[in-house]
Amino acid sequence: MDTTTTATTADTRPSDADILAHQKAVAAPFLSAPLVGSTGTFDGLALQLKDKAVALRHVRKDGNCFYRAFSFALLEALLNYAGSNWAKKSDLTNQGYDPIITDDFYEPIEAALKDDFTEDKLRGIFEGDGEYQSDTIVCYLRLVTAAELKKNRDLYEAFILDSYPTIDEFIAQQVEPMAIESDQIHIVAIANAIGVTVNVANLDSSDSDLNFHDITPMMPLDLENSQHQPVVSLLYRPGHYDIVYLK
Amino acid sequence: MQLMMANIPGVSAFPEEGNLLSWIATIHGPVGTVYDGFTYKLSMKFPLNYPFTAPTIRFETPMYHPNVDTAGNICLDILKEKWSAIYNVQTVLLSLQSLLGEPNNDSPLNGQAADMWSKPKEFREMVRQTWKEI
Repeated sequence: MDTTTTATTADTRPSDADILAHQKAVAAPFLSAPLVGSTGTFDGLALQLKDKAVALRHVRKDGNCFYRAFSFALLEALLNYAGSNWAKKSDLTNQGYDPIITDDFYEPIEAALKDDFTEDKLRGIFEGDGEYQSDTIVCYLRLVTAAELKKNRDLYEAFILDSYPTIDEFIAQQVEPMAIESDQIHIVAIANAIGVTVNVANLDSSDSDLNFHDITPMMPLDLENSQHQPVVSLLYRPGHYDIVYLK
Repeated sequence: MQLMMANIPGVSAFPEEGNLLSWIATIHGPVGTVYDGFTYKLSMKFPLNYPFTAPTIRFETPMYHPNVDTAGNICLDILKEKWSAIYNVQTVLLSLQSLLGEPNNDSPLNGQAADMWSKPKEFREMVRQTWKEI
């Protein structure tokens, strides 16, 4: 190895003391707050949302909430992008899913991408008798997520090997079955697979402001009007996702 | 719902007359296992939201196996927490057939059968005594 590069790398890398100091600095604001505060009002919580969002759409809490919220928000955004070629079936087939099965699950999406897809039809999928169709879409998106994890396993494996022996075992337990909740890795995978940005608003623990995680795809969806890429905005509270409409 | 059954040796399934949500399946004991030569009937009940919820499957023919209880209930992960809509009648029956030859003896429903699995001769005798034509 070239000795000069080694030297430069060594110089730019922070020392252990630097890392400790940084860690202390990051933790300082949290450590100065009281261990247990005085009782307060709820105003702060509600205001965080009101400042940034115009509406909230609740999604059923059945373990499929991420995929359900994601599909509704995406199809709603895609009302203006008829004919978009997203979540190609061939990706699923290439990862070993039987086309006889995946074709069935793709049908409601295929219909939603046609020119005559309207807001009424969108509601039809998610209200009343639409449950079966909506579940079909959830299932399809689970397979899209699984196929992306399989296809780029080198990219994702490091995040799950602590808990699962292989990515395939992770997929069989945490992605393919219905009603199993989604985590960061699922969201990153589906954002990459479909090519849309997922904007997750967190109401988790910080009381200063609503914080956002923008999960952007490596390859954005190829659309004619690429300046207006659809964005899926979700509100995350521990254990659940709802759809949020941001200002 | 996928109603087709490809022609695979050793397993078959058909809807009961007049009820598409209730099937009768047949599994032949795999060659070379203690079940070789025996045929088993199973009932498959499909929920209305199948395939998003697993079918309920039970051995109707009395079955002596570490992961099957005396009422015919089966303990198999893909019928429970690992169930996914990508499975169908065919894949489930093939999984059950391979469970016959490779039981999961670590979490048995029939402890006696799990203990006896290491003695194939005695085990086959129990299989023979348990089996009944239905």
